[in-house]
Amino acid sequence: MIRRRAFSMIEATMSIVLLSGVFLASAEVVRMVGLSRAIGEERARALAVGQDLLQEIAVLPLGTHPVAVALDNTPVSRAAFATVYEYSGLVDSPPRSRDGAALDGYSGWTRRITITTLNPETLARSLGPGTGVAQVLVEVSRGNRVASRMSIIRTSSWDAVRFDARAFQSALTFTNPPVSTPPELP
Amino acid sequence: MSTRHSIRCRPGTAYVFLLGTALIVTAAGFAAVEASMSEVANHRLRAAADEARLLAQTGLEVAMARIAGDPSWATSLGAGGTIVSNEAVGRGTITVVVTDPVDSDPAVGDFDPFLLRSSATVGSAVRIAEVELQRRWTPLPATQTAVHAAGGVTFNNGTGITADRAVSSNTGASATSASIGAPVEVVTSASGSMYSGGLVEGVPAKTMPAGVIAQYAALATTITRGSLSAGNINRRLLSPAVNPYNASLNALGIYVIDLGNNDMEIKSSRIFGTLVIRNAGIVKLKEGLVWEPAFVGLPSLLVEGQLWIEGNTDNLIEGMVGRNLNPASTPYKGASNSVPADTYPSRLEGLFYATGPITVKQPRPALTGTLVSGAGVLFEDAYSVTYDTRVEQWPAPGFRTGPEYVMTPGSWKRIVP
Repeated sequence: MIRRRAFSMIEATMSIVLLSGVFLASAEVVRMVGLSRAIGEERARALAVGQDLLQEIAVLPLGTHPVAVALDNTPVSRAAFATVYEYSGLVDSPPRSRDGAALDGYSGWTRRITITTLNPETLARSLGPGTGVAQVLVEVSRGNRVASRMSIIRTSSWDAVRFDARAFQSALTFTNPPVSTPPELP
Repeated sequence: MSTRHSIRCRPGTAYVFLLGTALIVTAAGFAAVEASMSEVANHRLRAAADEARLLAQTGLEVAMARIAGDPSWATSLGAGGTIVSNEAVGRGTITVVVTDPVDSDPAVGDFDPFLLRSSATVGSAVRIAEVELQRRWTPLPATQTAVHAAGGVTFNNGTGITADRAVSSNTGASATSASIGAPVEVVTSASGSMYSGGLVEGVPAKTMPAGVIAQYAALATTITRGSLSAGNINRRLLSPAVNPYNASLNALGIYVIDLGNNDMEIKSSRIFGTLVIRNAGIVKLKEGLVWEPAFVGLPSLLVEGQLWIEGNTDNLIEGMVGRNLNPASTPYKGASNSVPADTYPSRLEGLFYATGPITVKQPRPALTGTLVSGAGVLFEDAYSVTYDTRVEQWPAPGFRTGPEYVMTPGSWKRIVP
C-alpha cells in the first residue's frame, strides 16, 4: 500500500486560516474606513453649519453687553436679531435658518453660542461690563458628541469703521490733504 | 510507482494562489485606508483654511479695538509695526501689522492713511486680510464759523461785517446802528434790527477749545520778549526755517512768547507758522501783515489774553521793510527769490484764537479763516471774513475731536499666500 502524504490538507487548512485572517482584517479596515469617512463627513457638516451661523453673526454690529444672558432661549426665528449680543446663549436645535426654517438633514444636531466679553489688550476673559470686544464661540454637536467648535472675535471699534464706511462711501466728501500736513501731535 | 510520481509533482499552486490573493486584498485595503485618510486630511485642511479666513478678519477687529482704545497707539507699536503679535484665538494664531503708505511711519502724519494686514494661521493654513483706514477728525463747531465767541458779539455804531459763514455767540448779540451782512447765530437772543444776513436765535452752544495754549506752548520754541524790538514784532520773517530772535528753530513753525501781561504789536512782517502768546495784555495785529500756518492742520495764532485787529490798508512791501521775506527756505505760495523787491497783500489766513475778548478796531488785515474768542467779540469797524474750508477739513489739534476711522473704499483685500 502506498502511503499518501496529507500535504494538500494542511495546505488547505493553512489557506483557510490565512484567508480568514485577511478577510477579518479587511473587514476591520472597511469598518474603520467607513467610520473615518463618517466622522470626516460629520465634521465637515458640523463645520459648514457652524460657519454658516458665524457668518450670519459676523455681519451684525456687536451691540451692548447684556445685563443678564439668557441661557436657554430657543427662538424659532432669528430674523429680528440686530446685534451680536442678542445671540448670547442661543441653543439652536435642530439648526434653523435665520428665518426659522429647519435645515434639512440636521435632525438631532444642536448649535450653541457662547459670547464672552474679552479684555482688548490681553484677549483674556473680562468679568466687568462690556469692553467692546467679545468672543463668539459656536459649538456644534450631534447627540451628545461635540463635532466642532469655532470662534471669532467681534469688536464695536470695527463696527464703527464698517458702518461709518458706508456713509463715507456714499458721501465721498473726504479728500487727502494738500502738500503739507503736520506730524502727529500729542 | 506512478502514484509516487504524481505526489512528487504536486506543485502547491493553491497555496501560492491564496498567498497572492491575500497580498492583493491587503494592498487594496491599504490603498483604501490611504484614500480615506487623504480625504479626511483634505476635510481638515479645508476646515482649517475656512477658520483661518475668519480669524484673519478677527485679527483686524482686535487691532481696531486696540487702536480705538489707545490714543497713542501709533507710537507704541511693536517691531515692524506689529499691533497684534502671534496671539492665540481658538485653534489658530493671529498677527496684525500696521504700515503707513505715505511716509512708512504710522506715528507721523495726523491725516495719513494706514494699512492693517492681518495674518491668521490654523494648522498649516494661512490666510491674510488687509484693509486701509483713514483717520477722520471732527472739527469743533466753533471753528466752523467765520467768527465765534464764547461770550456776546457786539456790533457798534454804523459798522458791519460780511462773511460767508456765521458769526456766532454762545450767549447773545447786540447791534447798534450797524449793518451786518453775515448770518448771525446766537444761543439766547439778539438785540437791534440790522441783521440783513439773517439771524437765528436759540442755536445750541458750541464747544470751545480747552487747554490749547498750554498744549501748543509745550510744542513751541521759546522767543523771549526781551529779544523783540520794543516788545513788538516788526519787519521780520518768522518760519520753521527762520527765527530772527535766536538760533533755535522749530520744525513745525510753532513759537511761544510770554508777554508778562504787556501789550504787543505785530506788523509789517511775514509769519509762516504758529505763534503762541502767553500772558498777553493786548496783542494788536496791524498793517502790512502776511500770516499763515506753516502746515495745514495747525492754527496761526493763539493768544492768552486780548486780541485786537487794527491795521490800515498798507500792504507788506519788502523795500519798505528792508528785507527779503521769501528766501529759498521759506517760499511765498511756492515762489522764492533773494532780493527784497516783492510786495505782498496784507492778509491773515487760518485759525486765530484768543482766550480773551477780540476787538476789530479797523478793517485790516482781512481774514481768510476763522476768529474764535473765549470771551466776547466787538466790531467797531467793518470787517470781512472769508471762511477757509481747510480749517474744518484738516482741523488742528485741540480744535477737533476724534479721530474716527473710516475704511478707504475698495481697499479691503483677502489674500491667500
